[in-house]
Amino acid sequence: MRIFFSLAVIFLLCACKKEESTPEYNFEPVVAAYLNAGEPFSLQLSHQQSTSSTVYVAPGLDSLDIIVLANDSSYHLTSNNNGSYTNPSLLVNSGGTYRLQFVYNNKVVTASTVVPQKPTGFSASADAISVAKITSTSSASGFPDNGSITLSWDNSNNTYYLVVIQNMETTPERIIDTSVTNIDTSRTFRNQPELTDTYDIRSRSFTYFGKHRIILFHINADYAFLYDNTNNSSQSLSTPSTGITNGVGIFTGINSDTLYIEVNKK
Amino acid sequence: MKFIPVFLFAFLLEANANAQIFKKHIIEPPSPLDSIKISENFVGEYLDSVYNFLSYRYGLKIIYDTSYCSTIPFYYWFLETSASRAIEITTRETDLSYQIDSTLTIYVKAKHFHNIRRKRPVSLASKTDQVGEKDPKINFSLSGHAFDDSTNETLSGVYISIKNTSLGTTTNADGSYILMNVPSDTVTLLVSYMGYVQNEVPLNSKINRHEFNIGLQPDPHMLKEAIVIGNRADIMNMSANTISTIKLTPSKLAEIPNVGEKDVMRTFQLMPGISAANESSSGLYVRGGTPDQNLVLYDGFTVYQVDHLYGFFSAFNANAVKEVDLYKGGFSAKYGGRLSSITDISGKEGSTKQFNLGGDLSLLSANLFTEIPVTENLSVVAAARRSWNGPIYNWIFNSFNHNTGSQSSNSGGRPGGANNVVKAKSYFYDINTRVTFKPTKKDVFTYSFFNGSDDLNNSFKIETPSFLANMGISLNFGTTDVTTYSNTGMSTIWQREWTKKLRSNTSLSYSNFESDRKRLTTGSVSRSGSDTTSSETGIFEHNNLKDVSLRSDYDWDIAQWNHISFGIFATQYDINYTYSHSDTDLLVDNHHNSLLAGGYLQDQFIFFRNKLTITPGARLSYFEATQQQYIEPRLALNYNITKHISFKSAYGKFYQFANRITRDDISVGSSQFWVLSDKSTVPVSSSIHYIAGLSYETPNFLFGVEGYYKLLSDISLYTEKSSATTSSINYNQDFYVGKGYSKGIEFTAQKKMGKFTGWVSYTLAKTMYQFDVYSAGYFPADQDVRNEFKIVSMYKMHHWDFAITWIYASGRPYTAPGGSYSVKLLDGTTENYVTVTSKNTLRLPDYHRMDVAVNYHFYNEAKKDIGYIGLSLFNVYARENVWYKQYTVVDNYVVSTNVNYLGFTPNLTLSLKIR
Repeated sequence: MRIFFSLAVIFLLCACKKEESTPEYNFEPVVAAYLNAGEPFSLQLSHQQSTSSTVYVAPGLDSLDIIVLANDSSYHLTSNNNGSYTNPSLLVNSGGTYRLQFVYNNKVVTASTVVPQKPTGFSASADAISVAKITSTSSASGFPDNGSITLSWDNSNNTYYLVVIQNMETTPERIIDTSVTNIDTSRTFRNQPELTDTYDIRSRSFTYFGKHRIILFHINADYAFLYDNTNNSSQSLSTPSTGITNGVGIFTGINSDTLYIEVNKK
Repeated sequence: MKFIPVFLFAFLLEANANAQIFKKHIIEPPSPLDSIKISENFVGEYLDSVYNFLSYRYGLKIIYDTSYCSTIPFYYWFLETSASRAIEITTRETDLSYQIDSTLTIYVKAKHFHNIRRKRPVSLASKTDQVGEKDPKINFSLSGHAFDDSTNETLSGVYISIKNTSLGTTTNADGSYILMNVPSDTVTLLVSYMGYVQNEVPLNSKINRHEFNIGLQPDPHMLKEAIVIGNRADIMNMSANTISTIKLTPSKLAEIPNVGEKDVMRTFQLMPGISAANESSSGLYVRGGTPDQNLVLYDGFTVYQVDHLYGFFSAFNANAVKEVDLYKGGFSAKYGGRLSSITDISGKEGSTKQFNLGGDLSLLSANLFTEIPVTENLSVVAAARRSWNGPIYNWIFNSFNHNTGSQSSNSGGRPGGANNVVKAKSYFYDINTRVTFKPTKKDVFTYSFFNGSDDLNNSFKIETPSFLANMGISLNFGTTDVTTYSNTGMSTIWQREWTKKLRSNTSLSYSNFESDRKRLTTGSVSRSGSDTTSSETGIFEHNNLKDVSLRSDYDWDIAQWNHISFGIFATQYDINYTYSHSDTDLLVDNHHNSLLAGGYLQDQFIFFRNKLTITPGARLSYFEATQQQYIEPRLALNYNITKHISFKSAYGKFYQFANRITRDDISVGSSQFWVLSDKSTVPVSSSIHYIAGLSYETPNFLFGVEGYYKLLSDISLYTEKSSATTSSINYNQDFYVGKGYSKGIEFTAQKKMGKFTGWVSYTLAKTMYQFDVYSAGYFPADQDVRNEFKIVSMYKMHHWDFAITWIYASGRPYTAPGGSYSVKLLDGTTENYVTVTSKNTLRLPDYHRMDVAVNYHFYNEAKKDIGYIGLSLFNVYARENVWYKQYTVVDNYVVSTNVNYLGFTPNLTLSLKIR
């Protein structure tokens, strides 16, 4: 029995001494590039943050020779500092294929994407919706359902679309009175990227009165997948899927169409 | 004890009417012995083994002094040597002399036994003429059944031996045994079985040698101190005969600390080679294997899900279980379909003598069982238990469920806050029934039914805040978060004893595992005088596995030195798995069915009086899904070096056709589902085991060491991580194929008898995987635990039992974020992501825990144990053992939070039964 206890004590002491070590990690650059049809090519590079308290600053992000291969030609991007690169002469085309290539940390970083076609048949069931202002003393008829606006578009190829709704007013007025706190006050909301050809914007989704811009993004699946990455447990941790070799982030083509609607006060 | 054979021998000689002085050389040995020609090679066997071997191989009748002969090694190669000459050679250069009498009985004795008169042996063989045996010279066979004297339940695994010899056998699953070539001078059998009084059964010439049934008395607690002498360990019995085998009797489980329930699977986790640091799994991690690589059989049907309440309890009600055999590796050809190990559970038969009723009540659950003797041939056992939402249940539920936090924060954003959150109830239950019918002495029919279910309901809803209710608005937001899983299994078994030497066991079984996960966010708003509008989003996951199996196993005892086992089996699998988001297409829709059929043959050879056992075997399977045949060779070799020291080894190849996948998704809770191997995504996996061990066993102690090496091929790994291309998100390509190995060495020291019992074990192990998707090199598998140290100590004193267990396990590997980054999305928001280092490069802190239990037993007038009241303290020094880490990105920094296992948890149990 004494032996058992001695062994137990030894193991207990051993057990208390162990500490975790920090792994060495070779950071890859973070690429953020949305290739929006009709706009000049632009790209944002950044660095990853360390998990330790020491702030990691990636060197040389503004002095890279970044090449884009498109239209059977190669284009060099110009640095605008802070990791931003552009080439005003390279306009993004619908349906075009773009390849990115540069060397960072002695590794060749590459990525490729195809720009989707511009959405067609994009329409809204109404161009205005009336919503009553809600205060803490509002009557029962003031809240909350005032119908919806249905958006629709063509999606015969069953590809991914994202709808983003933004309030355009410079001094917007809230639908729910400012006396009610603890509500979402952002001026932009969106749907979940889906393989769909319709979306209902419910009246209670709006937070502000006034003019709203509705952008329908035709997106690639790799972008839709960015919204699907929420697992941060050590039991199943993995680096998010990315189409970028030797890098992380997003390099994807997008195409969009825009509508405007009014949210009026009832 | 060695004086007994000497005494017996002296007694036998004494009784002989014509005293003769022994001489080494007999002038004219009887001629028939000269005609028997012996060709055998003996290399160091002890003389008692040599004589015994010659007895049954050549029909010689040799009576010898056991105590002396068992100490003399013998080396000689007989080539066509006459029997009389052979006997003479065995006594050369020894202190032995021999004599042959007129009945051709050979007497071998130490020379100092001069002047002792001989007596004709009182042997069963001498009476064989009365029962019509043709050849009285040859030793006889003895067969029958062993059973519990108080209930008439047959007992398997009872060790029946001939006193003062190493000849012995173990009863089969139906309680039957056969001892062949019992020496004709045998007068006493030794019968031992854990939890029962060890018996010495005298034999006489009047017994029925074909149906010699042996009743065992359960070990009455009040007599324990006396009875324990010579008895085997109560809770754990590591077999001296079979490698890597542990037998467990649930009736004694209450003595080990528990939380809420005495638990079969939890108790196995205290054994060497089985990982203990897994509070979130009742499934067994055996020698680096995962729980799905451990086949769990309950009365012949497969149980696919062994967990209750996030794995904290197993699905098996200890009150309904008779015994459990765990084969940690290198198992026989009878078993297959899994890479790692086998857990074979037998349900209680029930008494055919007395009605019994009992139950347990703890802070977690209520448990009721009954045994009904319907007729002399028919008995019924039924047991049921159900959790109740007591403090322990909720404590464990909340410790293992981490969805609550995220839900609260979601609801917090809604108007009026989450003041009125109403949560749903959860529970688990299980039912066991077994009907045993013995229409004849040779047939036993059993019907066994099991159903268990967990309803883990983490739903909640937010009721209308007062300011909106005042406005006449009814608001209902809530989350439906329900995980239900259930096991249903049933089997009909027909055991038949065709002859004393041939038995069969035929079963038709059905097993169904169904799991359902639904996580929905529903919202509805209704106004007075207006329609209600509602919305619904969420995920649905459904897995339904059915198998129907038919198998027939045969055991044929050809001779004492040769036992053949063979059988056929067929299983039809049908597995469905669907995974969908509420408002998109079905993401995963798998439907597989396949037939697995085959047979096996195993032949056990026993040489040199049980000293050497060699068991080759092979298993052949045909799997319809791959349209291929799979051959699994098996080999086991045991050698008893001395009476106390034995060497064991095993080799085998194993295939696995059905795999359990764990979807570890903390944001919505983990879930598990089964898939069948196929030709494309999930290959049939295989393993090869090499095992060797040495044990030293005395009546009081067992010291053992066993080493193993396992090679794994074509193992599948599932990851929640889906892949995306520019055109699609693919949820089906989440299976990766790789390989691995597992190696380790286990040391055990067990004190089996006395007031103080228990064991200490240490395991040094390594389990490595290699998957191309992670790296070209090997990385530690998730379940890799390098060092495990366990102490189980129990002390009995009158009405009291005390037990302390302590477990130490080095930390399991995990993958940590190396960094984080953010991406600005098209809607203007910024999303944070973490990137990872190499797979499993870090280790969680070491796991250790001490549990303590105290039980006070009640006894009836007959001094029989009829229950106890017990206090159990789990994690008594409140060690914060880390289960996993959760990462969040705050201000571009990754913040890690430890999610811990259960802290200090006390429990009180009251257990009572009529008898």
